[in-house]
Amino acid sequence: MPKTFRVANGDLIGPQLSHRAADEEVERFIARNTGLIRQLRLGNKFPSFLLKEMERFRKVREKWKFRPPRWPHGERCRCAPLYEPNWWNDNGQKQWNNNCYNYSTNYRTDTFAQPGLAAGAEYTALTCASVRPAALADDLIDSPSANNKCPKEGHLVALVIAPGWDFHWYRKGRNGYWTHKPGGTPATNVDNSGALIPDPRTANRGPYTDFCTFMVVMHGHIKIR
Amino acid sequence: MGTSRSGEKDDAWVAGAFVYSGRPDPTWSISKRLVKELQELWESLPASEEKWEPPGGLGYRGSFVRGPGHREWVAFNGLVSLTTPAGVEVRSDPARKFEKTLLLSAPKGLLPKGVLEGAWRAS
Repeated sequence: MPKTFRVANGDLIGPQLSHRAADEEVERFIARNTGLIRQLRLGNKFPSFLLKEMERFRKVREKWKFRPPRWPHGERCRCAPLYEPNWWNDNGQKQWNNNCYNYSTNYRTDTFAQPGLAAGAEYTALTCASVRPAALADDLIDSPSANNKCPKEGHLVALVIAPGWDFHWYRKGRNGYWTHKPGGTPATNVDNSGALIPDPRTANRGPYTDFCTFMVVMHGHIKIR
Repeated sequence: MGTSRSGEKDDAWVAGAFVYSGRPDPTWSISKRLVKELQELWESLPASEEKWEPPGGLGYRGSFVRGPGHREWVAFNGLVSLTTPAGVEVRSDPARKFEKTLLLSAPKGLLPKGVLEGAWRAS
């Protein structure tokens, strides 16, 4: 036991001490008129005042019970890649030569990677039906029912299409929000409205009107070019 | 801004549009006559005090011309910038004449419909 400690509503708190008293009445024992508190000679009214305060404090403690903090804070997707825009946004070769597919898969190739190219199965049309199997050929895992939930392993990405013209990818970060890199522009955590992206299905995606699917990227399993 | 920065002939003038995310941005060759026209347009534009900020987001983000000597014009949203080894100069083009001239020189079908009209414009 430490030399000094606090007794409050049956809790014993002090240096390296955080226990529940075996006898929860220990506080009353100390505070009672006939108890140890009299030795302090604080007047006849003090013990009754102290008992009232103890009761008031007990009610406060009951109302705001201690809740242990949840750990880790804010990391909803512990396997997701870090959002580190400065690494991508060098306003140079790294930024210009890596596109949304590179960024979403967290795989730098400096080639403006195209779905399916590494596997010899590149998309043939700018449609969900064509780009999705191309990405599967690169060993991304289709997860249409992911419903914006993080996978236990790997990280979640999302494919959207500007029908007939282009594709785009987002990736879900550790904090549960999505980020992306439109072409050779800097990686960003906001959509076309300047808002954070809790769900790419509801983000302002400009002309990328078709939401195709969620997919999972298993780190080290995919190959893109 | 895209992969098209490499692989261009040193003496060729190439135009393009910053428009895609996944695919490389579309580029096309332009004639010396059009370059001369753009040069004249540029010289007619007044200097701008506005700071040139490359637009971001999904969709159309401007058009460009690249030529010999590392010269690059970029036009978007009423501003035109010229980057040379000497630095960056920005001029005002509220009627977007430079940008429209550039976009209209693109081969038919190369750019998504609505780029010129603003339908594809990024925020």
